[in-house]
Amino acid sequence: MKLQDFAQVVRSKNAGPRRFTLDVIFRSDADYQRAVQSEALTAAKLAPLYGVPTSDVKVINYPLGRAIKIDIPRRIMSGDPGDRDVYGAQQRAPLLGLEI
Amino acid sequence: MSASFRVLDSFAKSNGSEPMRILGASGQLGYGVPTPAFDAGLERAPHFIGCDMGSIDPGPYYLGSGELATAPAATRRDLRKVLLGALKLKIPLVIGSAGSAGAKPHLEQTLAMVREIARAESLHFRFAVLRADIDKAVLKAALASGGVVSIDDMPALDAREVDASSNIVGQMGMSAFKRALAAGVDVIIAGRACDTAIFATLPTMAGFPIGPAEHMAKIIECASLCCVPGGRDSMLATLDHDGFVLESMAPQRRATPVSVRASARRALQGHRRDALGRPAARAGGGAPPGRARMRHEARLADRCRAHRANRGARSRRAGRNPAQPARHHDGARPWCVRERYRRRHRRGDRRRPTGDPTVSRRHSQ
Repeated sequence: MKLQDFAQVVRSKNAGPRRFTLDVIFRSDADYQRAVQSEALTAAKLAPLYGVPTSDVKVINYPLGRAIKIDIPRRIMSGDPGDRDVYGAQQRAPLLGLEI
Repeated sequence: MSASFRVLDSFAKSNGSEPMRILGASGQLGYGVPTPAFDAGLERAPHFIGCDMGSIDPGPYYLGSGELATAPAATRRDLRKVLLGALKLKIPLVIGSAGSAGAKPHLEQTLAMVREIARAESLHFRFAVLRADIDKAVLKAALASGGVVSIDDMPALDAREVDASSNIVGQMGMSAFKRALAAGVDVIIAGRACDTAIFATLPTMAGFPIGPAEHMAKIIECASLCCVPGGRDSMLATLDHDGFVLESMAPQRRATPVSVRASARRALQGHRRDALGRPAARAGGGAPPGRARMRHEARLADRCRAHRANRGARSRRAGRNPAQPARHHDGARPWCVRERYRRRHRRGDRRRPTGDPTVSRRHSQ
């Protein structure tokens, strides 16, 4: 099943000008557990999607909120020449089709 | 008596029994403050109005250029609206990160607008201006003594970069706002400032625990971005000693457990930094951000409950289970979200001395 088929919220936003943060929130503990236990949402799998080294990707599970937070450095600082997403709000797209 | 003294006095007399109502008018003043929701917020008799006016998200361009990110006419209109609203109710108005980036040119442009509005409307108020600029010599001395640490993978700073910079600001926290509020003011316009400090300082001075205050601040500093659908309308927070209630002042938006959780990303950001052992420098004024072990729970606002005829809808406590979001939104009555802190944290928060208006030594520049 694709992430977009069962996650309640998938979104991205700048976390300062140098990084962005992706939030994935689930409706139920079962959905959350399914995502947490899958191999898809790990730093090793996510890094190539965003073109950054694995060591720079942080995945933080937050069971109380049934949420997974993914922290990724921006390749271009916000507002620098070449930046196409100043607020980092469009960076969720690569997650949507992930098979979980 | 100044507006800040009036609020602090009334809370000193209430002895912790009264909740504090905080109106978040805008997440970035100058992008528009819709009038219906702002007026609805004023009708709830808030204890103060807060507005964030800046953001770090667009990068360093505006800081360097000295320009405002928002159009001057729109900025003037928003400033006029919040000034008139606060002075009408005789409550403090707290504005942070003036003019998008909060350096001297941004602050001066904002102040010029405020003075122009005050002259045109014959407004009189006690006014605090908090400057955030850091002298190059101070920064170079800190560099030389090893006092500068890069965050978020920024390359190391050197003296040449300092000399080449057009504007340098520090992010002020709660202690700067505390000094102003403790001096008795009606309006505060701050340069570059932590957004949570805008909203959390007065509550902590009035004796509310810092955990819920910071957490509330981090959510309403973006106004109704925490609603579905998100927007720019004003947001009302009602803070007590155990948590807070968030209410959309726009009937077409509502704060639900999921919408608030989704917007609480930044509240968790402080958490994230702690977890990774990074500098937790974003805390508003030296205090640790509220531990985010909270539960979001939807309920109808008291006012709505009293009016609601459909008992079945009420008793279902719609939205308590986040899997079953609130169902009885009728478009006219605000939903609100309550955040409860675990008792353990609540007790911890209560032990902390929060009413002390003296200046923290940690904020010495």
